[in-house]
Amino acid sequence: MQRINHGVRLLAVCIQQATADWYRHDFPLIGYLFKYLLAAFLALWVALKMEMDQPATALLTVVIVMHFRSGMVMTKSYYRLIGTVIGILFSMLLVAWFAQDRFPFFIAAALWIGLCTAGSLIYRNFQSYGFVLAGYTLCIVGLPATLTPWHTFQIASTRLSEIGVGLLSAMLVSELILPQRLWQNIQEVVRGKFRDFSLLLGAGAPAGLNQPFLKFMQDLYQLESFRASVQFETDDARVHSTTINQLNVRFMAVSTTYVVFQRLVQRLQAQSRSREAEALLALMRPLAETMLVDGRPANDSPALVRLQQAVTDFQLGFTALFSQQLQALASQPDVNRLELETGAALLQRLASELAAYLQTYVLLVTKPRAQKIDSREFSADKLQMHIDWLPVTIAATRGALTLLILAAIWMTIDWPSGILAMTLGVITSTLFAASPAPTATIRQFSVGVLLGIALVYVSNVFWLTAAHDYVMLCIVIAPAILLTAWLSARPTTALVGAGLGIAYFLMVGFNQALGDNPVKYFNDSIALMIALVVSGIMFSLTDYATSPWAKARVLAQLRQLVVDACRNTSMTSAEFEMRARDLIQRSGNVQRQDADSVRMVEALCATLEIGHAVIALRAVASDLSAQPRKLLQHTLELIAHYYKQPGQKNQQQALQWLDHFLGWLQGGEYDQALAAWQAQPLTTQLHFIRLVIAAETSASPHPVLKQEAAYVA
Amino acid sequence: MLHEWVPRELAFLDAHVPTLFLAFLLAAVAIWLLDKWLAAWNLYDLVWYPALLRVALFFGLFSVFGLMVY
Repeated sequence: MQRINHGVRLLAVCIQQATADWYRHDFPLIGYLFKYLLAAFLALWVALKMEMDQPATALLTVVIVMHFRSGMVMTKSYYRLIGTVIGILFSMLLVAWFAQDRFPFFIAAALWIGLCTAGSLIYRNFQSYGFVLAGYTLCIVGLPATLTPWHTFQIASTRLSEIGVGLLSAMLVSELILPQRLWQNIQEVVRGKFRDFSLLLGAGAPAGLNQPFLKFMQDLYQLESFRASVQFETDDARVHSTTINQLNVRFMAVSTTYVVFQRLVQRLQAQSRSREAEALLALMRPLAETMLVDGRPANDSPALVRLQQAVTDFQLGFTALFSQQLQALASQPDVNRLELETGAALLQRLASELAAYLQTYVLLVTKPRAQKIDSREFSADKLQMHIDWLPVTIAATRGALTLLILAAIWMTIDWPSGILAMTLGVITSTLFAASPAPTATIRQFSVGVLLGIALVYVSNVFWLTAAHDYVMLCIVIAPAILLTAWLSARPTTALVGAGLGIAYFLMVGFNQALGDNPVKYFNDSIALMIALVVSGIMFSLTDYATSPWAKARVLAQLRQLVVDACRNTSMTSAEFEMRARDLIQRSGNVQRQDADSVRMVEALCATLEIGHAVIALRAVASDLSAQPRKLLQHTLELIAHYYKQPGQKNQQQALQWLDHFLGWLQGGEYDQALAAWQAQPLTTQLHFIRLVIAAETSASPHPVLKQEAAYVA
Repeated sequence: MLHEWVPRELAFLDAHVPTLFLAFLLAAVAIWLLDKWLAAWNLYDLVWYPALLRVALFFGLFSVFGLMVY
């Protein structure tokens, strides 16, 4: 009896666990499929009830905006609406201007598509979606209107209503039924980032720096993309939007300082100055030890409070610790005191930035109930963008050319489905403009489109002819919707899902008349395939992101950023940092994990290193008297010159000048002209810059690079 | 009441727009402001299902505006 009882209890526990597991992992997906269906059916019902021309447009809208997270649906819908309205207004203008002649019409349309493609590349997240939709709307409103210009207004208003119905049903369903909130994801990313950073910091001297740094960077942009969507959430996420931004900026600062410090140590080790390196690591050790409790990062609020206290203690006791280390090293021969001071200054900065980061982190994690944070104090530090106009121009030209080629095919062979081909051509060229590997993207999307074409055949020929009422219609479209939803919910097949949904609802046969028309079906399928082929060819012809030329350009731009930091007096260190990171992020080289990405992150770290030092130097210069300030100006000019035209000669020139300057500062005539509190930071900054420039030799960019490459391999 | 002198359709750039649409927009803006205020004051903590409240408030307001017209 007892054994049976035990067995039953065990079984109950097993079932409970399995159910909990299922509820956590699979249930949200099933709920999502159900929501997707419901939103589509609702949109279909309303569109049919209101006797709209093309209920399929409402369904297509649902397919486009549905997303796993409720807040994302709201954000996507918002930008979709804006994009559609702008697209419709432009279509009406275009028809009004050029309805009588097709050549100027298509040239103007191509310019518009180019503009939209450029916009979708420049903006991040769902804002870029608005541009895609503005281009797409031209195709679904402007092009049909050219055939019957006197119906333009009617076409525009019905398309707008259909899209509105689709948006409203998607928003309503995803808000009300089993809403999936972003706050959970945000908290996970924030905690994960803290955990990773604690482990890295606690490890003391890590083996590879670039990989963790890359990971941090990706987390940063992921968090930013979540944050961009919290405006439409009901829960705490929205109230914490500013805090999340602050956390991002502070984390950026502390992670950069840490990497710069470790690079300094590695450089010292590479120059076989291990005594200084050891001393610096010993200085950092107390900080590293506080980060981990029994080898694990702090995860509850008392531990976090203790950690904050420990960091403050470290800051307070640092000077004593430092002089202790100096005394211990005083007996040793040829120890460079300046290098130690440089490292110590970095450590002090690291500690203060860590304290600031911890403060925000604690606020976000342990007090989830909204604390009002003064948003004014923080409004200046938005993530900045760095726009490279060359790829933008290429993408715009590609979008415009794709439209023109398809239009030319349409006009020359007088082909009835030309509009459909142009629609899909525009969708692909705007939607995938920012993709790091566009050819692979198009290939995946094409698989979806082919699936969609096959499915349309089955539903048009066999099922739709048997559908006599609303319920039957729902049953007919249910498989396509479920397949689209399921494919697009998984990151690996999201593009296949998008292709399937778009192709199916562009072609499904219940717009004006129910049922199948084989001629139209084949024309439409050929149209979709021609569009895919044309845009695939265009993408492979103008594949800028993967060309070696693009990489060389990114490196050159990073150097130019350093030049800007030297010359542009208004650039702050946060702005510099964000622009450098955005540049690398956009270059599309960091998504892959290979030797190239290591080189990119390496270049980014080197740029951040020198850029921050230069900006700090400029900050010191601002409260100096006229003569030393002039010398500093000269220094900055030499550094800028070297970064503009890297070469042995310019490097030597900069190094010689820095040596002179340091010599003067340390015992020459300027020792009296400057107070000790002014000379000290100046000396350490100049020495740091000297170290960085001296380490840059054209033959081997950085000694650490080999080690990093080995670590990745 | 209002419906005696508000027309059912308004001419917007010579296109006839139902006044209900205007009511819809007005309700949306009102809800957006109200929602900001509710979130800022943590009043959503007192609500079991904030999204439902939002939608219900929206339909309530929209109906009020709509009934003013008709």
